[in-house]
This record gives sequence, C-alpha cells and structure tokens, in this order.
Amino acid sequence: MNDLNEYQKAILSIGEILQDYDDDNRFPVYGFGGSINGQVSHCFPINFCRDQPELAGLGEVLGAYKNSFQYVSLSGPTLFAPIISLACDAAERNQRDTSSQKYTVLLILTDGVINDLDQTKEQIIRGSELPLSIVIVGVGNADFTTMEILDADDNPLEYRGKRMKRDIVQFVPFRQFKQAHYSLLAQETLREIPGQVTGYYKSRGILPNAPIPASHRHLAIEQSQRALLGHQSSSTAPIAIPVSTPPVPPTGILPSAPAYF
Amino acid sequence: MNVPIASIIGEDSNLISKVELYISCRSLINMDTFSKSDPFTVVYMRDNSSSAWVEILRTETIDDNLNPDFTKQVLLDYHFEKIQELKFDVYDSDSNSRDLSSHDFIGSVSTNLARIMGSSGASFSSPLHLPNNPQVRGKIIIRGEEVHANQDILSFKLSARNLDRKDWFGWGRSDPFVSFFRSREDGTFVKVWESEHIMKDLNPMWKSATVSVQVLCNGDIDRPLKIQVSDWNSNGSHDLIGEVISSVRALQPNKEFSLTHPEIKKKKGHKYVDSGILKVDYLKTEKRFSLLDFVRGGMEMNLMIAVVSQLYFKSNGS
Repeated sequence: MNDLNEYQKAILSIGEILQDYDDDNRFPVYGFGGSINGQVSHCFPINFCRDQPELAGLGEVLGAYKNSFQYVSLSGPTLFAPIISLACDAAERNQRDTSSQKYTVLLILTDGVINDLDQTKEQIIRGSELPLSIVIVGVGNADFTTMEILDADDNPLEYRGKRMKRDIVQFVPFRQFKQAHYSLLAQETLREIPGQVTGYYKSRGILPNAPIPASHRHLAIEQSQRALLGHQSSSTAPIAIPVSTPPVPPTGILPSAPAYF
Repeated sequence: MNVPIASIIGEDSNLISKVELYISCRSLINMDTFSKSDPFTVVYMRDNSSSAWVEILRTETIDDNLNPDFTKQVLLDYHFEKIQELKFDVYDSDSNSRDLSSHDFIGSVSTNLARIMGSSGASFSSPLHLPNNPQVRGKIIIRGEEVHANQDILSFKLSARNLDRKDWFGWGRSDPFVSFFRSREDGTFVKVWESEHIMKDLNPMWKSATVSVQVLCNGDIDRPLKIQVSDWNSNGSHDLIGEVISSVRALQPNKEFSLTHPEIKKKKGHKYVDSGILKVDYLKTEKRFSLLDFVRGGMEMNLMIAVVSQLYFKSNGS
C-alpha cells in the first residue's frame, strides 16, 4: 500500500466501496488536461480505446495508468466540462432505460486547476437532474478554492438563470487524509451518496424495484445446480496490480475529436 | 443544551440502516465418524483501527446436520461509506466448551457487508476453506435483510396564536420559534428539531418543514414528544413561552394544542388558561426508501474515473 501514490490511493479507497454495487466490476477511466500525439484532449480513455474505455477491476485501472502516461504529455488548458458532460450522457442513457436502475458516480482527481468554471457549472446543473453524483478529490497542496465552489454546500450552483436541482458534488482534499488510513477518504466522500441516490429517485417519483427473492427455494436450486468444486468468487481475490502491462499503441486508435473538444 | 441539530435532522441526513444476516451452510464435510457434524458459526468483524478480527456473534449448534440453517442472526449497522469486513468460521462442535480450539474447524470465508447486500437477492454464497488450502469443505450462504425501521418523513406546517409577550417585561412582542424534543429511554428529553424564529409576532406562521419519524421518536409514534414554543433572543438565552407533551401519533392536521408555561401556571393558579395555542396547519406522512431498498431491487452503481494528466506526471516524479 505504501508504494501507491495519492491518486492511486484515492481510486482504491472509493473504488473498493463502489465495486460491490457494480455487477460487472468494469470501470470506464479517462484522462484530461493532456495531449496525445500532439493533440490536446480533454477527455481521453486511459486505455486509448474509445469504443471500450472500461477496465476490468481496480487492479487493471491502476495498471493502465502506469502504462498510459508514457504516451501523454502535459498540455493546458484543464477543462472539467467535457468529462462531466460525458458522465451526464451516460447518466442520461441510464435515465431513459426504465427497465433497470443504474446510478453513476464520477470520481474526478484534480490538482486544483480548472479553466472552464462556467461550462463546468453548466454541466453540473445538468447532472443535478440525472442519476449522477460527482466526487472530486484534490491531490497535492494546491489551492482548492474553486473546488469548494463546485461542492456548493452553502450556495447552490447557478448559471445563466438555471439553478442546480439537488446537491450532487462532494469535494475533499486528499491532504486531510495523508496521515490516516486511505479508507477514511471514502468515508468522507461517500457519506452523502446514499442520500443523493434516494433523493434522485424520490425527485423522479421512482420506487425501488421489487426485491429479487432469496428464498429457501433459491438456496435449494443453487445447491443442486452448482457444483461446489472450484467455485470461487473472483471478486474475493485481492487486488493485484499488474507490474508490466503490454504497451498499448495509441496511434490511430484515438478517433477524431468530437465537437466538444 | 448543545445538540448538533443539523447533524441529526434534514431531508438528506442518512438514517443508519440496520441489517440482519442469516447464515446457512450446505454440503459441509463430515467431521464425525459415527454421526454427522454438529456445526456452529462464529462471526467476526474487522476492527478498522486495530485491524484485528473481533468476535461479534456465535450461532447456536445444530446437531447432526450438514446443511444447517442457523436461526441466530447477526444484527449490524450498515455504513455505505465504509468497508465492513466480516469473517465466518464454521466449526463442528465436540463439547460445550467456549474455547474454539476444542472444536473441529470446518472452514472459513471472509467477505464484507456491502458484497453480501450487493449480491443478487442479497444472498451471498461462497465455498468454505481452511486457511491457505484450496480444498472446498462445504458452502456458506449468508442472506442479508434490512431491518425496517420507520423511514417515514413527516412534512408539516405549524402556526400559533395568542402567544404570551416575553420581551420588554411583557410589553413587547415575542420572537417565537418551535422546538421538538424526543424522549429518551431514561425519561429525559433531547432536542431534535427547531423551526426558524419569526420576529415580533404573537400569531406566527412558520415555514413548512420535514423531519423523519425516526428522528422524532425513534420510530415509536406513541413515544412522548415535547413541543415547546420559545421567544428567541439574540444572546442565545431563549425564554419558554409554553410547552405541551404529545406524541407523533397525535400530530394530525388541524389539531390544536394549548401551550402551558409551568411556572406561570403555578403563579397564576386557577386563573391561568394557557400561554397560547399551537396549531398543525398541514401534515403529511411520506414513505421514504433507503439505499438498500434500491440495491435489493437490483439498482446498480457504476463508477467512472477521471484523472487530470498533471497528477500522474507529478506523482511519478517525471
């Protein structure tokens, strides 16, 4: 655990909690505020695969980062709106799909720099009507005043006369937890999520689905159908961080930038 | 009285869910030569500060059964934001001893509460193993169920009339506000809600408010609820105008309560009528669902991660 840096610890802390509510354990992971092959990108999949930005499990997430930064160079400006817009798009798809209930939590790791505060506010206000929560973790010792504004605990965000419908952003600076166990970060950042989830469904008048029954019959079927031998839940395995991932060639895979960029 | 009111009331405050876990085992290996095993389960929770396993429950022993359904259940507080690690050790009982070393160890599994509650139907199953041994020695099934506390939310609007004057020795007008006090097991009262104060008004109408029934009476709607109307003072020492002891059940639309000031009543004796009337202008009870209600119905949470490029350059020292 000691050889992990701050943003990796932050990903683990929050990911370890949320993975148990995610059936397939696959997480889309993006970078922003960099350039790839000389092209500035404000929202690139960390595996450079726009069709399949999801990574399998937290171990792969941490590994992909180690791999990716050799292809990325730093480039300003640092824009938040494109990534939040992408999360809003996903949440909007989930909102339209009434056959299942899916709620998106976007974790943003930032050094505090933001060059598009207005557009970001606009996207957060949009997200406040969607099944979406945003957790922002500030890494390092920079000034995070702007992030406190986005947190909007005291003053709801407003942009061009539109006001946010509910609080969906939680900001926490990592330095508060430097000396503490990394799991405390999740305790601080995720405490409000249950209320945000139930608050969203309440605002839309959506009730919980009927519980999936776990009766004794279910136990009996399980017993007869599943051979005991070799059945081990893969999710109980400890997180292994791949030491060397084969390099992903970024050339040509990154599609042309969408209109937002 | 210094009660952190903001932390216990409000629409978004999360009530702690309580969860019960029921334990079953299937196809346990037989440890006894002449009969079947007599299994029991010991449940441990990881203490987050010391990271030691702490025993929280021991089930009853079920004799001669390789597929036991234990009736003694585990009761836990559910914290969404924490990893609550649990360990289940299954033993074959050989005596009445509390000492675990005098029983045969059948197998063990470690998991966490979220994984149990997030499993399909909140039914988690896993093979049992000895430590560092891949051999399967049976299967454990842990079913979670949220203990349904009263999750209702009370929306209400209160007004009062003919309140006693408190400021300027009875010449001014009071600045009244309402507070609710929940009774505790020992009969004392603790403040759980407070309205805004309305300046210089003896017939105030307060804003509509919402409070959870759980907060008002710990789910027991017949429990005594003390309602006070007081005169607000900027120095923080507020004067009681009058109070009444009622219950959540008695809070009904259009219900009126006469408010009594115990000392003034004593002083004035039989001439005392009341110190004002409190009226429930509006009241509605609304059912509220918990996160676990949605999880139980199959709601999924998807995590999406975004990292600003600056960070991995900084953190990788390049």
